[in-house]
Amino acid sequence: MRRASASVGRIVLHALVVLAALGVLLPLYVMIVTSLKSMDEIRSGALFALPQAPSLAAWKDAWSHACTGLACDGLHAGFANSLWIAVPSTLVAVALGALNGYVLALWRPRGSNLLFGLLMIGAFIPVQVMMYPLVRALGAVGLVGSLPGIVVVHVIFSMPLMTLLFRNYYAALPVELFNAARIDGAGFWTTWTLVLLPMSAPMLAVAAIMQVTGVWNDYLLGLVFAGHELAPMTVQLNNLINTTTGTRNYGVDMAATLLTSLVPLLVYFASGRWFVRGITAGALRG
Amino acid sequence: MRATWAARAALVPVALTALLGYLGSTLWTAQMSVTASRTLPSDHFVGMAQYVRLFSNERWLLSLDNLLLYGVLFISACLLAGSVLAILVDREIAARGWLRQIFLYPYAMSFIATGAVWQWILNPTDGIQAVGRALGFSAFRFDWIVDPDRVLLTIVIATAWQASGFVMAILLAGLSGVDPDLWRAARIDGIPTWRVYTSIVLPQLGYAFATALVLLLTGVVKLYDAVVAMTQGGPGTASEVPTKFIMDHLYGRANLGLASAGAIVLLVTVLALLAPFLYARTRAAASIA
Amino acid sequence: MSGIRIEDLTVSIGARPILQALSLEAHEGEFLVLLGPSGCGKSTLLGAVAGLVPVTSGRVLIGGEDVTDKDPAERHIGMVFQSYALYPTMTVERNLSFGLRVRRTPRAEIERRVRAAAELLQLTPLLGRRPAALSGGQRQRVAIGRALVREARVYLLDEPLSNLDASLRATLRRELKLLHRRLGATMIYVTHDQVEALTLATRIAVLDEGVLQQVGTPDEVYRRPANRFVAGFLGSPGMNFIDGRIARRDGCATFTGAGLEVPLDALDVTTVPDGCAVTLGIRPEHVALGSGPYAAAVRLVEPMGATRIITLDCDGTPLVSLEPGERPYADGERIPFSLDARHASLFDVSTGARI
Repeated sequence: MRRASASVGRIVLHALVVLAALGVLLPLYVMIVTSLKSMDEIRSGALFALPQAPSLAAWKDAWSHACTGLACDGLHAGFANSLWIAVPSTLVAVALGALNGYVLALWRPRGSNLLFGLLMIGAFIPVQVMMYPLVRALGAVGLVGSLPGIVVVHVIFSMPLMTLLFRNYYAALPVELFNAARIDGAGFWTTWTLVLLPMSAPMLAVAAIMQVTGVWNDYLLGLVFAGHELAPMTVQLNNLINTTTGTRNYGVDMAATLLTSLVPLLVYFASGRWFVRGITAGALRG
Repeated sequence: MRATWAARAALVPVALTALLGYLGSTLWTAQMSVTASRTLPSDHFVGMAQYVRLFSNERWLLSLDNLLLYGVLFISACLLAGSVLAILVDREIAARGWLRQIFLYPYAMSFIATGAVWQWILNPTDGIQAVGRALGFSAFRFDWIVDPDRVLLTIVIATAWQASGFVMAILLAGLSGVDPDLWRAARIDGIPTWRVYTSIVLPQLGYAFATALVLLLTGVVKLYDAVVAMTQGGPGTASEVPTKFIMDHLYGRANLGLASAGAIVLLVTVLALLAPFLYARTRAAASIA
Repeated sequence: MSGIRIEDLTVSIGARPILQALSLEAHEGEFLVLLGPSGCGKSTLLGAVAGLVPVTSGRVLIGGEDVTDKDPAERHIGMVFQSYALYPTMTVERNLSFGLRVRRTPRAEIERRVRAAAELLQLTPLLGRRPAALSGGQRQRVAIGRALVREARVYLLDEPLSNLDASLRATLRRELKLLHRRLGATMIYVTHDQVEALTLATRIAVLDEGVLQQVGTPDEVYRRPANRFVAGFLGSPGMNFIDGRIARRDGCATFTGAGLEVPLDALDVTTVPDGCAVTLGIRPEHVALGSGPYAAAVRLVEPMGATRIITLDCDGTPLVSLEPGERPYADGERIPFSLDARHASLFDVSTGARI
């Protein structure tokens, strides 16, 4: 009797889970099938139907012909821009975050708690509050619309999360390890590079994953600081889907959306557990 | 003696970030909000005049209303969906690793992409409404995205779709900290599963819920990309939000003073929302020490 | 000249004093054990000697040289940590040689020292392994080896055996004692385990709440504890404490308390006034059952294999005896016993100090 009711409960549970998963997956499915359909088929109102004659035409359009603002040569330039922005932004931000975390967790010079508190509050301030002064400051040194400019801005706004990740990671290590290195005669830099960094591989990966997806998915900073030439993929995508001229081709829109989401989704599905670790480590102890 | 000069030097970039990047630019914005700055900063002091103008601006007041309504709906939806997903994944079911990954994938996408796909699904001509009508329900209506009274709901749906998995992940992390012996003890005592969740497990997740709440709250205040991608504030001004108001006045309308005043109001809102959590944390830290 | 002198050392964290004006000396070649309950400040004291804990006031001298303001690296010490603190990404060999490599010691010299330490500690077959692939005892040996290759003037050991299981702990304890004899180096060893302290130390320094309670040989500290804290902290089962008074009859001092009258002719109590309230301390091994002037009911028998712990009830005061006998006792049975007053201690009731 008890066994029977328990198994009914389990069937209901599994049904609920499957239903929820399908619901969450639905938009991804719609994106994929729409991107493979012709415009005529899209207009027939069969949003959820599989494509009758799957074609990659919309993908080609999105990549090399679609209008993203004034130019009509697709998203490929934006893809390259996003890549150029994401790589240095990630390298610099992760390295600085690891260094900050090391100092704040283990050396703790006077005032470092205050600095860390300020940094954490900074993480909650809407970007718009700080934006105009940063535009002016970067403009004064000629960095607006340049690669170093947008990288600096990304590093600035990712500093709280990167620092927090590594501070918590290093603070959770036994402090005796740090003390042992000091007794062994290792100084500030040797302790970091020879003892701690080799142990930080998991957190380096987590931080890099968080930063690559974060930078890739950014829209606002790219819009304001990258300028036209360097506009990242998200900015181009938004221009593409919200152009008011001409008829909209939802197939191209969805192909472009998928193309823009490709890198973060690949990173996510290839590294799922670490991505989860990144958001929970960043969130729960912050 | 403990901290060497190298340690202090290593903190220079982060100190510059916090002091100049965050504090300095915030103060500059605060200063501009009490001036008559238009396209360029001006030193013409006008006191609280920009704030007075701000709060007699229909669009600003509407965007604040929108933010409040959006915030309540979005946070409720995320917490509810996130809890349900977390409990579902927490049960011993097949392929839970895969399920967790499926529930969280929207969070790996950008708001622009999220906005794009939902704009397509919800558009009345070819989206869900068309599907309903093609099925024979000729009176089927689902045109919220062009309905000024319902457009905010569509933004709630899209962003909650994206963020629910995030809430789930945080709650799952909290659940993994619950002593498994509690489950064994409850089974021996014959307590039904739902009761274990409501009386034993969920009360222990206070910290995880608070964390999720803080992050969702700041997400609400920062809401911008999704609105731009989905509705651009429309139809009309029906889905305007404060961040968009500030951006429009910074760029399109070249009214630095008013935009700065709006930014400072937003900042004060964030700090006010954050204050109880910071207070609780310092209290907790003090009671441990 | 490589002793350690601690002069008037005060360490405070914030406004909270951890150590107060503490002075202590470890002579050259000595094995000094810092013993105390957790939180007594013993690890802080060791950290201050190592230079890992900032000193509020006072001085630390190693080999006659004032090192109070020196970096840990400049103090020429070897240290073994409770958690071993082995570098997890390095092999055993790299763990051993790290300090020497950082100091740019010549290659041949590094090799010689690592080989010697590995040989001494039977680590040679493990040199290529990482710490994660080692057992607890092996990790402990690597941690000791890392300190040894420094060929330091002094060695500091912070509860090095506390993470090992009981039998391994006993083995390594013996190895440590032999190692100390062989090296003849000055060692300071922190522990909360009285057995380690009694077996290893040439002298024991007992700490409580940041204050030094007694310094002496294991024998002195065990047999002539300076106060009630030291008396109670050492020995297992713990010393019996009986509250009572001093009475004098015909010039002979007697202790009365818990229904017992104990003549104190073996103790020097001339300074204690008549009728003075005192606490008598007597170790369980000095309470002999079977015959004697006193009698009490048996409350509890705890067999320990070779010996038994027997708890008697003396007018409501528990009295514990440690005895090797095999005679069965019934619960509540009244049995005669004697106290060996030569080994008793008297403590001031209010201050706890030895009289």
